Amino acid sequence: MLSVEAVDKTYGSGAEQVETLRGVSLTVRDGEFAALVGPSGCGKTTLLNLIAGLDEVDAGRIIVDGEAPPAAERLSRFGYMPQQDMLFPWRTVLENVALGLEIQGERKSDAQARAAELFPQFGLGGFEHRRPHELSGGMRQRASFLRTYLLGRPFLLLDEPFGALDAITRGHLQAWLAETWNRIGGSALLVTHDPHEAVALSDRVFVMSPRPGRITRVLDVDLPRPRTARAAETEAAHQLIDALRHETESIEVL
Amino acid sequence: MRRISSVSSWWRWFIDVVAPVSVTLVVLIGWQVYVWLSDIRPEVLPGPIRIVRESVESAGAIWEHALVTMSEVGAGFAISIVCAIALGMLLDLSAPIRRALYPLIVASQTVPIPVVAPLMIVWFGFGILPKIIVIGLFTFVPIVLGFAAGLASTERPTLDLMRTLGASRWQVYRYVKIPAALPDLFTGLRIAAIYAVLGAIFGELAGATDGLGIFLEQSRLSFRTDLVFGAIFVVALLSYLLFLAVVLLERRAIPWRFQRRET
Repeated sequence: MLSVEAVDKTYGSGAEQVETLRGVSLTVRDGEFAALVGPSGCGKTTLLNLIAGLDEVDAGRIIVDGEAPPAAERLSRFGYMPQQDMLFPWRTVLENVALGLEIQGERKSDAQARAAELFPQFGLGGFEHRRPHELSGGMRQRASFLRTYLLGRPFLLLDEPFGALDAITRGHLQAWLAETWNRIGGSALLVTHDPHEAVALSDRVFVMSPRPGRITRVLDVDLPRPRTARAAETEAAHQLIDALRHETESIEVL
Repeated sequence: MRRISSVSSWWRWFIDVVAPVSVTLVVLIGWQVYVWLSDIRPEVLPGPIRIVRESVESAGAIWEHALVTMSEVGAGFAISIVCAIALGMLLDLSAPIRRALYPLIVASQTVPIPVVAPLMIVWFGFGILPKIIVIGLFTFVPIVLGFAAGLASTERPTLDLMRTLGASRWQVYRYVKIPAALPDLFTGLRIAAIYAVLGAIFGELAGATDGLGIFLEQSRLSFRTDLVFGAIFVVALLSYLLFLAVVLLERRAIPWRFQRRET
C-alpha cells in the first residue's frame, strides 16, 4: 500500500521560488489502479517523481507498505514509466526492453530471453531485432511499458504514458492496457490529463488543483473488473467521465 | 520510399562528382593558361603541369618525408584522442574540474603554435615528442569540447529513467551517456583530423631533419616553388584521407545515426 501524507514541495529559492505541491495526501491500496488527473503544470508529475524517489519531499511523508523509506530507497520500489518512450536508438527493441534487467545484473542473454518471451503478449512479436525508429508510436510505448513491467516491481507509476500519441492510437493503447492489466495485476498510479483515460483504466481518480497542487476531489470508479476494451463506453462510465471533465474544467477556469 | 527516381539520382551524382571536379578543372586550366600567357617565372608561380612533372620526379623523396610525417600524425593523433576522451569524461564527471579546466582548454586553442613550437624543441628536444605535443595542441580541443558536449546532452528525464532502473553512475555512462555522445565526439574528431597533418608540419618546421614540413622548407629555400606546391598537395591529400578515415569509422561506430526514419 502507498500513502502520501501532507506532502509539500517547493522548487527554487527567492523570487524564483515555485510552490508546486501543498499538503498533498492520497492512498493507493494494494491491487488498486489509481489515476491522478489535473491541468497541465499542476504538479502531477512532480508528485509522481517524489513517490518514485527521484526527488525528496520538503515536508510530509511517503509511506510504502508501512514504512517511510527515503528517496534513494524508493527508487527500487516502483516501476516507473516515463512520458517519452526513451528507447535508445543504439539498441534494438529487445535490447532496450531488457535494459532494466541487464542493469539489475542479470546476464545479457538471460535478460533478453526473458524479455523475448513476453514480446508476443505485448504485441511486439517479430520486432525484437528492429531499431526503435522502425516501430509505430504505439508499439514504442508498449515496449517502454514492457521494459518497466519486466523489473517485476509490484507497483507501477505511469507518467502520461500515452500523452504524446494521436487520439486513435491513444484509444487503442488504453484498451490494450485495460486488458493487459487484467492479466498482470498489481497496483498502479497513472498521471493523466484525460478524464476518459482515467475512468477507462482506474478504480479511483484523484483530482488535483493548479499550482500549488492539492487533491481537491476523490472519485470512485465503480466499473466492473476485469475491464474490457469497451468498459469506458457504458452509460455509468460516461457519467463518471462527464463528472470528471466538469470537475477539471471548473478548476481550469479558476 | 527507398527507390530514388532517376532524375534525382542523376542530380545527386552531378552535385557530388561533376560539380566539384569541373570547378577544380576550370581553376587548374585558368591557372595554366595564365602561366603560359604571362610568361611568369616558375620560381614565383609554377603552372600545374610543371608542378605535377617535377613532383613526380621527386616522388621518392616526397614519399620518404611523407612517411615520417604520417608516423608523427599517427602517434600524435592517437595520443591526442585518448587524452581528449579521458579529459572529456573528467569534465563531465566533476563540475569543479570542469569550471577549473574549461578556460584553460579554450585558451590552449588560442596559443599561436608556430611561435611556441620552437620552445617545444628547447623543452623536449628534436625527437618525435614535440611533434606529438604540437599535433595535440592542434587537435585536442575540438575532440574534448565535442565529447564533453555530447556527454552533457543526455537530458534529465533520461537520467531519471536510468535511476529508476537502478543504474549506477558507471552504468549511466556505459548504457546512455557515452553512446549518446558519439555523434558529437565524431564531429570533434572530423575537425581534429583536418588539423592533425598541419600540426605535424608546424612541429617539423620548428626543428626536425625529416618530414614534409622539412621538405617544404628546403624546397622554398632553394626556390623550388613547384615542389612547394607539390608538397602542399600531398599535405592536403593526407589530411583529406585522415578525414575520410574518420568519416568511415563514424559510419561503422554509430550506424543508427545514418538510418533516417522514413516517416
